[in-house]
Amino acid sequence: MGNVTLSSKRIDWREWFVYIVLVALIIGFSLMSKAFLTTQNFEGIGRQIAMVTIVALGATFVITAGHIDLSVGSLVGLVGLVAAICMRSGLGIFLSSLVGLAIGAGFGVAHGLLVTKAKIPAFLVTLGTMGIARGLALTITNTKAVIILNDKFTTVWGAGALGRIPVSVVWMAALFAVAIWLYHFTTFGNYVKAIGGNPTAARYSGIKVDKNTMMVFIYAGLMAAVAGLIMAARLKSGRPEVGSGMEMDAIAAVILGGASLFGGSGKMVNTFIGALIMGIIVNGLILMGVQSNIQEIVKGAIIIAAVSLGKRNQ
Amino acid sequence: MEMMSERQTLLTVEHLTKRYPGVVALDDVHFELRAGEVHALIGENGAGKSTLIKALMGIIPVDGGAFFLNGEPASIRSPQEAMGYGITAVFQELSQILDLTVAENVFLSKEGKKAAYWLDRHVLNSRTQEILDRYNISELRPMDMLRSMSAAKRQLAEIVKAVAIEPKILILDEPTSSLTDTEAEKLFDIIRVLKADGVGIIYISHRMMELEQIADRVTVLRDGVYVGTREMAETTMDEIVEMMVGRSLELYQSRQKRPIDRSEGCKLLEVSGLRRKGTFDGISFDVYKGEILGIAGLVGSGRSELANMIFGIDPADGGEIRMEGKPVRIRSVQDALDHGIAMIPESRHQQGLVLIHSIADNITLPILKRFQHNLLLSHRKKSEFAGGMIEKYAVKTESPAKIVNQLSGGNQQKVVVAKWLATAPKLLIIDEPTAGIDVNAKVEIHKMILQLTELGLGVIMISSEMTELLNHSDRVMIMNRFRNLGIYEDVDQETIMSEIMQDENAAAENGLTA
Repeated sequence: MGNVTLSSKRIDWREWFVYIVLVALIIGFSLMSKAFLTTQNFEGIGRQIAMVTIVALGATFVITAGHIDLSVGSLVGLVGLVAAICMRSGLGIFLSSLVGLAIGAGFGVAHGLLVTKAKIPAFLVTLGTMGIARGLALTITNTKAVIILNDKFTTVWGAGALGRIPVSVVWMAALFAVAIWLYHFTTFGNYVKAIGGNPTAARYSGIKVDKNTMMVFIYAGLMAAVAGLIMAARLKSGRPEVGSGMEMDAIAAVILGGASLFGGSGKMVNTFIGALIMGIIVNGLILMGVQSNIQEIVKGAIIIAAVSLGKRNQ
Repeated sequence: MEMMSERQTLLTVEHLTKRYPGVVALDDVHFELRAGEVHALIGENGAGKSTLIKALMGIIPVDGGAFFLNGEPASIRSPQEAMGYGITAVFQELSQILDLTVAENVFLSKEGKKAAYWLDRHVLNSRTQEILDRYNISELRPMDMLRSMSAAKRQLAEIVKAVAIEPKILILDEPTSSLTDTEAEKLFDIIRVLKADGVGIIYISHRMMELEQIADRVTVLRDGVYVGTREMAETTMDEIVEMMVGRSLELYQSRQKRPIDRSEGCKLLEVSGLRRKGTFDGISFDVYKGEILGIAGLVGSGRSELANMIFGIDPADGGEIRMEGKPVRIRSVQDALDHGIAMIPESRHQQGLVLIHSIADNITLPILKRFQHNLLLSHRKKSEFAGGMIEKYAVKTESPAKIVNQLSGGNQQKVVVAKWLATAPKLLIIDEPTAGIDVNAKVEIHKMILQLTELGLGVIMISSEMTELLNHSDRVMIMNRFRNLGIYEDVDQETIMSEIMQDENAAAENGLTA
């Protein structure tokens, strides 16, 4: 009890850690490349991180609830492809997007049911659906891409801009605001934290653990679907192979942001900072002319270093 | 007694000091343990018992002082070194691997490192059986899986594991907190064998009654300071309690029987013929307003299961529950809460609290909807409300934002109490309300409950501690094998035990062993 003063100081420092890393990276890359600290470059970074950030919003909820969702990267590919096929068959922007979102939500329902009712660990469930979603996407068009010719679709979801701000960044900002509200300012967000912190105590407190867990997976599926639509719009096509590995980037962003991998706690803002850090690393390395293979190595090393430095020593 | 004091001194702890930033956990503490004695180490939560034990086990470094083993200075800086001196401990919170057998668990530490892969399962089992026989433990078999065993049996298995390494010094940290009185007797038998072998036992417990039964000497710590050591035969409970808290307490005085209005109109809960597949085959009882109904029974008699059934954790599938005369359907915890039923569950850590969350988050969890207006959850209102509850229920903390993990056991339990009383229940079920918390906190919690019954709250109290049960219940229901054996207004421990034994005998005769 007496070490309160010290430990609270330590926690304060750790809470700011992710910002320290961010500032350090910005200063570092600014010194190394003149092109880094420009509005144009940051527009690029914004476009680049929009999709991962949106997926990471869902991942924050899933991880906070004490689970994991590995399927979201595959869902991004599947949803984008199906939306493209719908557009090609003349379904219109609204319905095509709705079909895409429904696929995301549908996978979420399946995950929720398998985790809560069949009591299969989320890791295994989503490892399975990760393969299923990717396999479906590759099978539907026999691995071929589907071009989207409709300019409205690509403008609304990804290629357009609001003034100088890319539309994908606008989507990211709007969904981020909703996520902050859900996570921090609703009973739902609090219930999810309680479930992740101690599912038994949550149940004994009258919280409908299964129902809330289900909503978390649906939300994660929806976020992946939105990312899939944005991806398709930016590529002006549905491509079955896109989004691969995105689940890992999203998880990394959440953990970089300081959320506990065991559930129960996290901060939505920090998840965004986590995604931003990863975007900046990739962007800075590109500007420095580092090869993409090497980028992956550096990114991995920085993630491990940041997480281990920011870890609470308990 | 003569024999006892002639026994050689095994361990001496001199001037032991341990500082944490801002607090002195141990301040110049003295302790001495003889071979073949049970030396009780007692004090309130936060008195320094755990710190002393951790220092002795080499788990934490100390800031000053010395250990002597058999008169020789000893350096204990790691658990391995402690093991090397023959010191071992059984902790209160067990961290067992549940998918092991008793035998595998026993040899996990001892043979595990050098010979796990080579040891024949039969050898493991027969060696374990030898140990079980030596201590006359018929309740365990070497092949039993820990997962399939009750908490009490797991505790026993852990003690077997500790004695298997033939320790010179054995530390038992609240070994009886999950045991009933009969099971505790079993433990005491084991302890007597160990004593005869010359093992020195450091025994931590909050249960005063059992110290009289088992301890030879007692050392009291208060706020990290050594208060004194007494021969058990030459001291009284009152003296020990006074040493612990610095004043005498009313806990060990029997409470006057209160008049309870048991007219039909004052009936709060009426349970009739409640059934659940695999456990209850029609159980009936009632609770009146302002009454504390105690439930006595052995571990496994169905007390906690009954509580869980009424609270909607494992809802009944037949029979009837009435609240204030009206039939109610309880299919979930939310249903129970809606009908004014709250429960302080058996396990504070597993069922009661989200340990990594703040006091405010925990207290407001069941009533969180109250703080959401116009789609916005107000953290300020939550915190204000929690602040009020903290004051009302005397939780010692500087802020509602404090993480529950950092509170003492007694304070954590007060948070659980506050959390459930915040729902303004008509009926409160309390399952082991004061297990593992210190005397002062116990008294405070008993007082709170008593005050609330004055206002008409009905209480169902489950407790394995007979003193608590008999002193605080207005009526006692005896349970065995998921049945109600009878409800008594005046009952003593002997009657309860003989009722249960008779029921067990009857079951055995009918070939219905539980």
